[in-house]
Amino acid sequence: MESELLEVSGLRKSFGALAAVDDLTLSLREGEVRALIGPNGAGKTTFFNLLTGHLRPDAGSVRLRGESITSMPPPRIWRRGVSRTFQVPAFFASKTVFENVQIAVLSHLGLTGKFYVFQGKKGEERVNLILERVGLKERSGEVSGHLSYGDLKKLELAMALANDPQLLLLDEPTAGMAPGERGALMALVLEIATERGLTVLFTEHDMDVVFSVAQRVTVMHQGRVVADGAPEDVRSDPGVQRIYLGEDERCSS
Amino acid sequence: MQLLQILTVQVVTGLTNAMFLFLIASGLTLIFGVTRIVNFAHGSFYMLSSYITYSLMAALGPWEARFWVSLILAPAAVAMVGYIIERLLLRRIYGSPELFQLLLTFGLVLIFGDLVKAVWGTDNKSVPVPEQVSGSFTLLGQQFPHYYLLVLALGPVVTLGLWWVFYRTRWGMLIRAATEDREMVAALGVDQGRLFTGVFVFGSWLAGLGGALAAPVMAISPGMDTAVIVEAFVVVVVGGMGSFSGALLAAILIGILKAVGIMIVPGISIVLIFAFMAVVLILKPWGLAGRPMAEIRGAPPPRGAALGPSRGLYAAALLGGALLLSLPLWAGRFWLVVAGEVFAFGLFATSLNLLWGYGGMVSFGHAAYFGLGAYTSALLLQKAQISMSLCFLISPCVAGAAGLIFGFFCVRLSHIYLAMLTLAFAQILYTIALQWYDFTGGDNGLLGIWPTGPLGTPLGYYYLSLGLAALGICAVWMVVRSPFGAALRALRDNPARAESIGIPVRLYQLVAFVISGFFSGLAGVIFVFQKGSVFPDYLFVVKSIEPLIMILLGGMHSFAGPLIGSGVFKLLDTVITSGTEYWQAVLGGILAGLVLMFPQGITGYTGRHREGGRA
Repeated sequence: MESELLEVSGLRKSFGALAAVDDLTLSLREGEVRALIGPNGAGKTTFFNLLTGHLRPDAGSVRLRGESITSMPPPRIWRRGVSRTFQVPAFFASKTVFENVQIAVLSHLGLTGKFYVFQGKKGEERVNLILERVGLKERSGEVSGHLSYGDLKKLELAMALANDPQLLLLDEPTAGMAPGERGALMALVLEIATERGLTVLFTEHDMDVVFSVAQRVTVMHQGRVVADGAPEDVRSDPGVQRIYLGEDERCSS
Repeated sequence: MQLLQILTVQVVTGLTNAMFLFLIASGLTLIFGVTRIVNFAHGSFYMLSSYITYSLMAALGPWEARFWVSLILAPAAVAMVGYIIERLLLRRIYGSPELFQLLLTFGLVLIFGDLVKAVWGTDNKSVPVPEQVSGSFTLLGQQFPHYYLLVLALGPVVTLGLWWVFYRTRWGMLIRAATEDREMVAALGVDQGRLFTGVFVFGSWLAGLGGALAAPVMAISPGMDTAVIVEAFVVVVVGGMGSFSGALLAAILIGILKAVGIMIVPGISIVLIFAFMAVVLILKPWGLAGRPMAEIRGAPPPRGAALGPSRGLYAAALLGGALLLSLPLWAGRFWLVVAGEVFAFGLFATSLNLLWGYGGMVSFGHAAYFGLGAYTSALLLQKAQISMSLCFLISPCVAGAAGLIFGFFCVRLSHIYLAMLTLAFAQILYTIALQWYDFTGGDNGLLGIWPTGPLGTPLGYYYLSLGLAALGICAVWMVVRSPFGAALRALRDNPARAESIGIPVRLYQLVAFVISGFFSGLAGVIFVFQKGSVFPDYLFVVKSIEPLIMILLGGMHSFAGPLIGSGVFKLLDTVITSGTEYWQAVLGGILAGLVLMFPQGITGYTGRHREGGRA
């Protein structure tokens, strides 16, 4: 219960004069579902890219179960059990739904370096289990480029689950979906997280989703953490209200 | 003192050459910046202008102003040609993938090359230095023609003129804006079509000016187009594509490097230039003054090969195999030779498509591996008396090793930069083969590379070619169908996602380079023993383009496409070569026609129809 899965301290990343992530410190407990919120440009996506190795931090450290993963390349961080989804769905458009998940599974099994064997249906059982879990089993044979937006989000989730992750990073998992679908997708994420004891960190703009799913909420603004705590505490935090609603003291939710 | 004098000569010559280079490169970079077209035909415009200057000078007779009149008329004529090309051809393919644009303009290079040969013949022409500047001056005890002074003085004048156009006119402002973000400029109500035409015509005029100015000091010959375009590409890439100041800086650096390089490594100074480019691209992947290219919004997503159903393919392979095995029974010797070449090129194109169609990396210099395989075998056989079977073993490994070295640099880049670097490496090998006379025989090549042993007969070698090519193609087929092949297609579709599922993108791209290089090398060995000789042409850019055309002909989206394409290509080659000496022009015409008819590729076309209802 008390063990820390992820510890981030003093993380910093600048683009020219702009400090996108500025001395950010944060830790995640094993098994917690945490929302990371903040206005556009707060540095949430940059922070994710620092965690997954797509960007190198200028300073600070990232530790997973006490071991440093700072500045590791993305494939190695993924192999340590950190999976992610992207704000704009990232998938392999020429492949079928099955093949999209299959390549992630094969990568997890360490088979993608083999060029002298046929791929065939290797890993089929595992792929089907994952597809079944996210509800894409019937779409298995479809070319992923033809999927609806909501299904693409599920496909990304399926790919992120292929390596039995310990930490799942979801960058705006419900962006672009109809309000009704959002709740269903996040319920699915929550179910899977509970089943597998996953730790989840997600960014989100839909406050209904945030407050119904997250056990804890962290607020980022201008590259820093400005509030951190239980959803109801964060909701009533005057500083947070100021960030979202402006300086007018009379506004309250 | 002696050294200083020589150095002075070289620096002055280098600077003069730099001015010609800058004129061409600035047009090239301007056109690329705005229209995103890499115009291979830019060197042809330069050449055309030199030839027109030559003809005008002859036509105008002994009139003393004849050069100056030509200097105005020739670039104007080339600008007209540019106008026609833009309106008739380029206009149709602005939305196409960059490689298709590159191929279309390369088709124009071939057509212009043959056109010039047809009109002016193949012998060198020269233009006298105009009387008014025919004298010379002395600098540090060395004589220099006054004409150099004129060119050196014109350089800054042109640079200032360009600066004025770009920073002081509305049109220049639009060009700068369009280089930054052309969709935004279009959204603001600027007529994009007119802007593109204007830019292309202006760029063509700059190349024409370079060609006319260079006419009195250069030998005017049919090969000058490709020689100059390769150097201009280097200037543009080193300077940063789309950047003027970068082009100027790079032209000066390269002009001087080339001239001084001749003193240090005579003959292969061009290698220095490419080495310089490689270093710059590694340190600054976008060139000295370049910035990462803005994405073109609304551009079609790249389409690549996917795994299709295989049942039909097996049946076709079986049928084709039976046909080819029995070919010697019912076809004449001539067709056996043609078929043998198809085997070599089928394997060559297939291995290139592993990189392009499946890996999403466009190699514009794959002749490097093909030619390296051929040269290694020829050299092993002649210099070391090594047996044929060992040649077949060693040469592909050498080509694979080259794939490792070149690939190491190339996978750091993407898109057009990658294509240009692959081309640069191939040109380095070409230059070495051409100029290292004692070792490679220069343009005489190496002769007498015939197969020996029981498989040395025409029939025996036919079966050996068939067997080895089939083996190679099956191996590539296996790679494509392997988990590695799946990972390759994945990283082509979405590199960021591929990294996020544990695929080391650059490493896998490098492995693809090695595999592709290996089998291209094998194709080269098969080919060299068929022909019995090897020439620098095997490493030349045309040999790199041929397999790309084959892939386009047959379709890059299916495994068998390149094979079918190589068959069609060789048949066309055989039929047309027997009918005309202008084979290159016909080839260029086919290329241009293909790109214009199927701007998304042949299978891209059918694919769109198949998926029509769903997108």
